[in-house]
This record gives sequence, C-alpha cells and structure tokens, in this order.
Amino acid sequence: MIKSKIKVMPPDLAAKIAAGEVVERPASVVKELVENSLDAGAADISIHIVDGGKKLIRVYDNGEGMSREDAVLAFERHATSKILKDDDLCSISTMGFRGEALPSIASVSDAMVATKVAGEIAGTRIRVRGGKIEDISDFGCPDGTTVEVRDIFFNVPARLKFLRSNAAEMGRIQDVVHHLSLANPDIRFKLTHGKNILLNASANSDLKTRACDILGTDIMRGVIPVEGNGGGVSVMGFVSNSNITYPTTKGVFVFVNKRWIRDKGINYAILQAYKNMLMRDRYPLAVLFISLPPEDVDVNVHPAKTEVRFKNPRFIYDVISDAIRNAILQKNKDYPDGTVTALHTSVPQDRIREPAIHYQTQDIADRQAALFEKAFHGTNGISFPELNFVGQLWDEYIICNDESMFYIIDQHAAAERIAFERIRKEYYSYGIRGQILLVPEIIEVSAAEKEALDSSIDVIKDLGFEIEQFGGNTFILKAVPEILSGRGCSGLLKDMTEEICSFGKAARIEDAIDAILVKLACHSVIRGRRKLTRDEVVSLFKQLSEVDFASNCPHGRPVVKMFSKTEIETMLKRR
Amino acid sequence: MKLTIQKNNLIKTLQNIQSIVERKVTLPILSNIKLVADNNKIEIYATNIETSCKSTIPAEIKKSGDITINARKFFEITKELPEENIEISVGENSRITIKSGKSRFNINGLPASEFPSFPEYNEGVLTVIDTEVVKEMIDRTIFAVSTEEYRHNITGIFFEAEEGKVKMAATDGYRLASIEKPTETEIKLNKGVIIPRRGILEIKKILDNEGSLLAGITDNSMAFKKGNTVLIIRLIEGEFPSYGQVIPKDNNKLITISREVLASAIRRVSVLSSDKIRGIKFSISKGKMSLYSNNPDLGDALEEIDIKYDGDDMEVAFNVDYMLDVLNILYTNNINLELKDSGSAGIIKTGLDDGYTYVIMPMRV
Ligand SMILES: Nc1ncnc2c1ncn2[C@@H]1O[C@H](COP(=O)(O)OP(=O)(O)O)[C@@H](O)[C@H]1O
Repeated sequence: MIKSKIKVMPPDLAAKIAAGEVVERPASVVKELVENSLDAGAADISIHIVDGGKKLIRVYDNGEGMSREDAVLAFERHATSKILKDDDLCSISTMGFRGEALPSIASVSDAMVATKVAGEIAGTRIRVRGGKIEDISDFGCPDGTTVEVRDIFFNVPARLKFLRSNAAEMGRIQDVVHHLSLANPDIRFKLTHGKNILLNASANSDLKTRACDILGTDIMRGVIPVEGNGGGVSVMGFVSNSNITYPTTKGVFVFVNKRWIRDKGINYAILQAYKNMLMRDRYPLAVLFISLPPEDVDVNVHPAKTEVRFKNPRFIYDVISDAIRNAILQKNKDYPDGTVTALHTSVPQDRIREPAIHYQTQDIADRQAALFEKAFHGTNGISFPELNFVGQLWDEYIICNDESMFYIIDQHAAAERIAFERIRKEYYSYGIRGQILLVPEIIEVSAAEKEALDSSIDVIKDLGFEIEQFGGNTFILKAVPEILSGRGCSGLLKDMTEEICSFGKAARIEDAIDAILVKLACHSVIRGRRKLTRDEVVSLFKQLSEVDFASNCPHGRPVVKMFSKTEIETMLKRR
Repeated sequence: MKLTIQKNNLIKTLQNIQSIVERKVTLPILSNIKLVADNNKIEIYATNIETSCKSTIPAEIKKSGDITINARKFFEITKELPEENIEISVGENSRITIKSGKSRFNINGLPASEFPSFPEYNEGVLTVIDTEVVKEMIDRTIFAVSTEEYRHNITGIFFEAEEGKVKMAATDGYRLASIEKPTETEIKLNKGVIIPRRGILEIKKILDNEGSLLAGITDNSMAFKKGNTVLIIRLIEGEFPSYGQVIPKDNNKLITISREVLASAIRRVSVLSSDKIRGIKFSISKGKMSLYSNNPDLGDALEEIDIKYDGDDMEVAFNVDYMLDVLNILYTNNINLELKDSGSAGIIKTGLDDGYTYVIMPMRV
C-alpha cells in the first residue's frame, strides 16, 4: 500500500492565498501542468498542443506518478502535497503550492489523467469533465503522469470567446515552455504543435546549450557570461553585447529562485548596466538567474505568479547591475575595439551610480526624453538649405547656425531619417525591389521566429526579401532588398522577425510596417564616424528639407538639437 | 649602422610600402619598417601581418646593422631631401640621422629585434608565371571582390590552377567575375586559395618591376617575387563558394550589343536612380532593348538602343553598378549578353575566346 502524500489544505490557509483564476488561457494550463511535472521530479517532459491548446493540451512526464488515492484527491479543490501548515508558506521552494490547479483546470475542460507510480503493476486513469469525475479505472501506462486537457472552456463560452487566434495562443504557450525549460536545462523538453516540433531540447544540457535550443545558435554566439553575488544574493547567466537588441523586453528572461518572473525594477537595472551602449527603447538579450533566501522574496503577489516582491529591492538591483556591467567591461577589455561605441542613447552618460537614486534617475531619463521630444518636434520650422555649415564634431555631428540659432545635427540619425522616408515612399509606391543573391544564404532561426516567418513570407516578400523554408528551423534567403545589397542582412532579418512576431500586438499594420522600414533604413546607412565634405553636407541638408519631419518617427532619436543665441549668451553670462 | 644610398632607388620602394604599413595600430612597431644594411645592399621590410614585403636596394654600406623607423616619416623626409645622395646612420638609443646636402634630420627609431620576423619561404618552390596574364586576370576580377569584412571568405580573389590552366574568380554575393587562362608552366596547387584584396593591390604594384614574376604557395601564405621585391601574403582561410555551379549553362537568349552604346545608355538612364536605388529595367525584343528607370522622387527615364537579338521578348532588371563595373573594364567593341528569364542569372562575355565570364544576378521587379 502506498502512503498518501496529498493532504487537503485547511480552509483558513486556502483563504490566505491570493485568490484569482488559475486558468486564464491555454498557456496557464500548460504552465500549471509542467510545473506539476517538475515537482514530481520528471527528467523528461513532452508537451503536445493542438490548435493553440484550444483543442488539446497533453503533458507527459516520467516523474514519480500518483497512486489511485492521490490521483482522485488531486482533483479536489485545495488538495496539495506541498503545504501543510502556515509556516510553510514562508519558505516555498517548490513551483506550485496552491493545490487548486488540477481541479480548476478540470472544471472548465474535458480532462484525463493517466498515472503510474514506478514499481506498481497498473496505473490509474481518471476522466473528469466540467469538474465531474466520470470514470476511474485501472490503466496500463508507463511510469509517470500524462494529463490531457481537451476542449478548454467548452462550458464557459465567455472565456472561449476571449481566446486569441491559435497562433497567438501558441505563442504564449511557447513563452511559458521556454521559461520553464531555460530554468531546468537538465530536463528534456519537447514541445509540438500539431505536426510541428517547436522545441526538442535534450536532457542534461547546460544553460548555454539549452539557450541555443531556444534562442538559436546565431544569437548565442556573442553572449557574455554574467556572474556576481553579494549579501546572500547571487546572479548568474548571460547577456548579449550591444549588437543584439530587441524592441521589447522579450529577450529578457529573469528567474528568481528558478521561477520566471517579470519585474520592472530588474529590467531597469539591466538597462542601467548598459548605460549608453543601447539605443533608446532597445533591450538586450539577458538570461539571468537570481538566487536569494526564500524569506527575502514574496512570490505570492500575483495569482499568475509572475511577479514577486523583494524585501530589499534596491540592493538586489544593484547586485544585478554590477554583475552585468562587470561582465560587459571585462568583455570590452578583452576586445578593445568592440561594438560599444557604435550606439547611442538619450540617457545621460554622466550618472555615477549610487544605490539610492535608481528611481530618481528614471525621472531624469524621462525628463530628458521629453526634452528631446520637444527638440525633435521643433525641427519643423528649420530651413535646412539655408543653414550655415560651421564644421563637423568628431566626424559624427554637423555643427551649423543661422541668425539666431546654433544647431547640432547627428549625421547618422539624419541619414537614417532620409533613408527611412525614401524606403517608405518606395514601399508604398511599388514595393521594395529585391536583389537576388548569387549563392543563397542559409539562416537559422529559433522556433518562435520560424512560426513568425512561416506565416509572413508574403509580407517579407513585399519588403524585398525572398525566403524559402529549408526544413527544420532553417530557411534560405534568396534575395535581399536592393537598398541593403552589399550589407549584412541576416541580423536584420532576425530583427524583422521580431517585429513580425509582435505584429499581432501592433495597433495598426501600418505601424508594424513602419517599424520594419525603420529597421531597413537603419541597416542601410553607414554607421560610425565619417568626415563629410561641404558638398555632402549641402546635399544632406537639401534632402533633409524634403523630409517631412512632423510625420511619424516614434522610434527615432532626435536628428537635430538646437540652442538659441540667447541661451548661449546666458550660459556665458553675457546677459 | 651607417650607409649612403641613392634617393632615386629608395623613394619608389618607400612609396609602395606605405599602403602595407598600418596607420592606426595597436602595435606601434607595425607603423615602422625595418632596415637591414649588409653586403652592399639594404633590405627594407614592411608588414601588417597579413601582407609582408621585403625589397632589396643597392647601397654603400659603411657599417652594417639594423633598425626600424616610422614608415611615413621616413618617406616624407626622403621625398623632400635636396640631394641625390642620402646618408643614414644610427647612433645611441636607436637615434637615426638622415643627411643630405645641408639638411639633417634626427628621428627616434625602435630596435629591429622588436620587428616581426619575415615569414619563411622557399625560393626554390616559386614558379614563373606570365606577368601580363596575371595582370589581366586581376584587372578583370578585382572589382567584384566583396568589401564586406564579415563575409571574409569572399573578400579576396580565388585562385586555382589545374593542368594547363589558371583561374581567378571574385564575387560579392550578387555578381561573379571569373577568368581562366592557359599556362605553359605547371603550377602546383592542390586546392584553390583565396588571396585577400589588399594583398592583390600590393601584387599589382610590383607587376611593373623588372624581371619575371615568380609565385608559389608556402603553408597558409602565398609568395610573389618580382625584381627586387618579395611579397608574402597570408591567404584567407575559408571556403570560396563553389562558383562553377552558379554559372548558368542554359541561357538561350543571346544578345550582342555595342559596349559603348550600352554603357552610355545605362549612365543616362541611371541619372534618375538614387545612390541607393540602383535598379533599372531592361526590356528586350527583336533588335531592340529599352532601358527604363523610375524613382518615386524624381520621375522616370526611358531609352531605346539597337541590339542584335531575334528571340522572344523578355524583361529583366539589373543593378546599374554591377553592369557598369564590367562594361568599364572590358575592351571589346561588342559584348554578348546571355539571358534566360527575369529571375535567373545573366552572363556577360566579350565574344572572344578569352576565358572571361561575368555572372550578374537580376533584381525582382
Ligand atoms: N504530473 C504529476 N505527477 C505527480 N503528481 C502530481 C502531478 N500533477 C499533480 N500531482 C499531484 O497532485 C497535487 C495537486 O496538484 P495541483 O492541483 O496542480 O496543485 P499544486 O498547486 O499543488 O500543484 C500535487 O500536489 C501533486 O502531488
């Protein structure tokens, strides 16, 4: 006879735990089921999804399994083997702890559990539909547990209507699986959607190998390892150099005590570490594992368990920032002419880090941004061709003036701006022409990017790219936009896929396309310093004057910054 | 070290090696050149690690020795010296004195022991190759070499030899220039090698030295010797694309055009293409080709020229730069354009039996 490991939670304890729906969408089901599998000590977890999880979610694990008694108990509300008394809540170290996942899931779907404890002859199968146990029987199955969840929300039409497209739901499931598998590289993870294998990561991997499976080998090539600790807090993982950046925080993976979380403060701490190396609104790739004593972090802030509350947040942010900055500095020391100088940001450089001023500095950054915004929108009235060219600063900035104003023009930003307008016009007038490659290029993408590419090959074609699937996560690039020929494209393609992944999120398709065109423009102009001849400056001014500045450039850095004569006179105490 | 040398003998060598010597370097010694004086000659060494050069110049050696000196300073001073006779001597602490007529310069040198040693090569393995052939082969391919550092395997000219033939090819991923020539001397090469573009430019400079051109492979480098100069060029590691496959075999639309007429028509029509948007459309029908470019900002341009062609109508777009590049380096009155369809590679040849093939990828329209 096997001892029952599941206890029903005392009601007051259950009440103590933040309320809230566990089952919000297919991805939350996947998260709960996989966390259960991890808790059960599985070494191998396979997740099979049909129709974005709307039709079927199946999670198989080779963990410890459940006895018949436990399995039945598992479907009762607040049954859990993990928390026994109040005090236990403070030192939570297993993943799930609320004992309400299985019953909640089973109440809104057609669920089946087949499970067997190693050494037992027969397993158990339980079918529950809409929360009602329909069948319990002996069942021949391998050691471990399989949970099948079919027709989610069949009895809650309001919820069903709320679900997004299969692809969108699948995207969320993928995110969940990526987080869990990054946190558990020793465990084999397989994720399939219909006939497609989206992830097949082998057991006993190290973090780097696992990250390659998930993010693609290309991206992982330039990462910098991060390690640091202090005061009981430790940070380890890796970050990208400033070459690989994303428009959102989707490349940022933060785990606190192995649990994936989202924390604005940590994101900001990461950006802080890069200081002036990233462009505004760009985030690096960062996979960071933060460990700290369980009593220093409250994991129960949010029902979906993705937010945490730290006892001493600032200290933790500092440890993270320091660890990343040290890693980057070390890297730059190793390669003195690295990529650090090529990118700019609006965040002022002169901020010496002091533990107490994080939130203050955020204000400064915002104010600064607002100022730039003003300067940027103020460029409408400048008559560029009439400006008097004074000279060039460090081969990067054009200095010029007129009667009453003094201007600094960022030549790269200006060129990018012009290129953007040109590409935009071209795109909307006859589509961007592609230059065919002599020898097609092979590109490797991550599973998520593959889905995005698959679904948008036509959109990409209008942009001048020609891509064909080659099998697996490999594509062949056959043509590139004319404007880019002669420049590296595979980085850009990655960037674009990012944008396409977020197509669904963009308010209007035009915005999404503009975002891509910005990327194209950025890649098409020469970066870095360059001495300009007077003729080149004149031609740049002429082109700038033809550009409609007021028109959208939500992503852009300012092209021009100006100072009035009065300002300068005041500065020099002439007034 | 003490010697006298003729300005005339020195100046050309100093000029030639300026491009080898790096301007901005982390290793200051690489901005220098090494002088070794012995046995009535002076040897001048320059290197940027990738390309190393050694030139031997006759001189009257009063005291043998060696030293390194900043290449640019040395060249600039030598250029301005008033007299033909130059005296160079090295004193305490690597201090170099250059005297000519009434001028006298003192420069601080660095000891020669710090200079990288010249790569080993075995004169015996060098074979003679025809200077004119090499010159032609380089001139007709080098313009197509990629200048994108990140695609290092195509940033040089691919050089291959097989029985009785030498071949060169260069590509930037969008077009390919290839040439093959018969050769009498046997060149021992197991597999093709990629010679970096910068190295090729150095080779071109020594081609008009006196004497015959010798070349050979040593380890991962290639050695070239002509007259008093030896160049050792480190080869690019990597695989050159197997370009034979991209040269189409079944292009059946054959067009003959006057090279000059085509080039000037392209130039005129492309006035309306911007510096980034370089595609123009070629519509081909019996006896006629029309070139068309349009630009959302500026408008469109159309020009018609006569050609020799009697196949089916077709349309194809090419980047004008890729067209003009090749038209500019060819020398025949007419060229042959071999096409298939708007999505396949086009071929340009001279129509002579000169082993030259240029492949150009079209643009999608
Ligand atoms: N895959 C599994 N393997 C073994 N035991 C499981 C598995 N899934 C659930 N259980 C058992 O069922 C109990 C209830 O699960 P669940 O309702 O998801 O709540 P919890 O929040 O505790 O994970 C768990 O505490 C665990 O003992």
